[in-house]
Amino acid sequence: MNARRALLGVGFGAVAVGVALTLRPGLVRFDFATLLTLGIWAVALVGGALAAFERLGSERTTGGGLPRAGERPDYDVPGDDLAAAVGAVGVGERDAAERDRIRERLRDAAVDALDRYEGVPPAEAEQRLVDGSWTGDSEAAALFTDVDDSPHEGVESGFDRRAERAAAAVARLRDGTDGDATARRRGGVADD
Amino acid sequence: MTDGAALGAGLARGEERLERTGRWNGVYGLALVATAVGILVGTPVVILAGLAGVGFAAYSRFTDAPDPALAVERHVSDTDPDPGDTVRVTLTVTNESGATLPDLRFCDDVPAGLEVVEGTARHTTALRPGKRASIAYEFEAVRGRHEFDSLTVVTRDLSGASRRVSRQATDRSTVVCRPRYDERSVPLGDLATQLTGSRPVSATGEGLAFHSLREYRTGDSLASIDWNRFAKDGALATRRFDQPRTVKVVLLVDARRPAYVTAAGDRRPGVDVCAHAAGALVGGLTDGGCHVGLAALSPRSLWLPPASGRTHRERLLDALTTDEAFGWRPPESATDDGFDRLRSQLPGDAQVVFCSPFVDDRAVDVARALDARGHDVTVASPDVTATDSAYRRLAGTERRLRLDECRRTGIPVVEWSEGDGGGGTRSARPSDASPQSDRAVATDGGGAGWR
Repeated sequence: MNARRALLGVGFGAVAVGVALTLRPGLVRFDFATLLTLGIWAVALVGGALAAFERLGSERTTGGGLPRAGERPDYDVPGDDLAAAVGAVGVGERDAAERDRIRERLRDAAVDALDRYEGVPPAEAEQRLVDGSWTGDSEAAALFTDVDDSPHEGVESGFDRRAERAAAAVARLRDGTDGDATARRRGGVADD
Repeated sequence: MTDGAALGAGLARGEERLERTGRWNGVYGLALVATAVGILVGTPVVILAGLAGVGFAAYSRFTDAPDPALAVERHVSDTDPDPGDTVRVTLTVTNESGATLPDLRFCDDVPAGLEVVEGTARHTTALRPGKRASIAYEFEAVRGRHEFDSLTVVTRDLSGASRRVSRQATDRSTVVCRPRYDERSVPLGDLATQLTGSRPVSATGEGLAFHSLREYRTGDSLASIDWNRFAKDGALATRRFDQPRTVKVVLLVDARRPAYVTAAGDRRPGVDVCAHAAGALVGGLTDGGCHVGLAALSPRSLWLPPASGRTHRERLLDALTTDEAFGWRPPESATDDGFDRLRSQLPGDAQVVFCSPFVDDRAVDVARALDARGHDVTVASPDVTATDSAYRRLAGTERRLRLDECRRTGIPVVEWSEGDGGGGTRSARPSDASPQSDRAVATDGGGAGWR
């Protein structure tokens, strides 16, 4: 709409100039105006051609704006909502609340998983999350230990990577394949 | 399903709207510039070029897309297919408007859930008066009642400056695809009605099979006294007999918006899997002498009170097959689940089998609330999680934790799997059950029939 108004303004301005020059003939003596006219039309034609190509291209993919027909709704896969939330969240202070919400969900899952699969009481599980000993993956552990370590307040770089590693670590607790946790269960030493 | 930006989205059957496309935005300005420059240089050709632009702009401004009068014929090759069958649809559109339609686009409104596997349901053409255009496509039948009753039509004027979008009503063609449900059962609790029936429960009374002895109490029938015991040690004891009762079971299917999720690559929502599970339980439980009812945990209300008999069984299966509550399109509301309404409908002496994929915490809340209200609750949960990313594996773990939470509170959990032959009650290994629950529970690695 703004481009349309701008072009309209240019048009009215040009008409005004044209009328003025009509009243004072001879103000422009060379053929520059004709060249300008041709240039404007050339630009218009090129623009029109580009628009036509774009339109043709979009028709191939969207059927000219017609509804998608005969396709099942795109159902989510469980977990994709969290992946999307992590992907959308920024590292700045503005998104700190959203990051905390995601962190809480992962924290709850980790505590429950430690309780269920490792037999760790919730209070002790919380402590392990705080000191980072709940998993052998340091990146995953850092999601809960390095919250306030950033030199810039409210800024948390690498959140998406840590969240993904933490999600994987929680899932490994169920499988019993988390190296550090498995070693603790056996009373041995982690091998990773 | 129509995407959000698609033409015709939000239009009801029979509605239409006229839109400006904005295709020629800017033509006014260019035309005026050309005219001005023409005046400036005093060249008639340039002025004419400008006027041509002005004329085109005026045309696009004052003409509208034609209002099409179309006759639509639709032929469906099979209105009662089995799941997986391929059904062919032929659609013929005839221009009866008496004028040429220079740009006609139409799209058959294929019901949600049906996937076109051959051909296309869309077409673009120019159609002179009396002429017709046809399309043909094939879809794969899936559970449900699928109504073909409209066509999305878009016409544009010659300049493309305006378009008319409508959902034209057509004759109704109905395709009903009824799956053959398995017949399976789940371990039930002891909650029963006061009515005599055929279901063995812990109640004792006037039955035939011996149950136990207890100390004689004043008022006990003389016929129930164990005289042999009295002759042996002089103590009066009363014989108790099993009292088979009528058991009411309500199959509660989780059809909330969050249950419309699928394992990767499956494209079959959890609600459909749960509907199949409930269908299998209808057969197994009615054969076991239960009075069976059906409810949907959904903003789209469905309630069939517990009853018995062949007609009622057919009604239950028909509802699972065709009711909108179990349709392929998720409900609009993501928050309302109709649970308050359901609580007012559930009889106090009914057990509940809750079929849910358990992909969110609300499912746990519902199971626990019903359990706290005194219903014997059993969870039958199909797994619709995937394992091909960290977050998806996490969702699978969270689901397991939710099921464990149910077990801890004494709610038996059956992990439901399909495709293992069906038929009959499956053995269930009582492992991993909570100490409070003495009922058989199938869990990870349980009986062969359960996953």
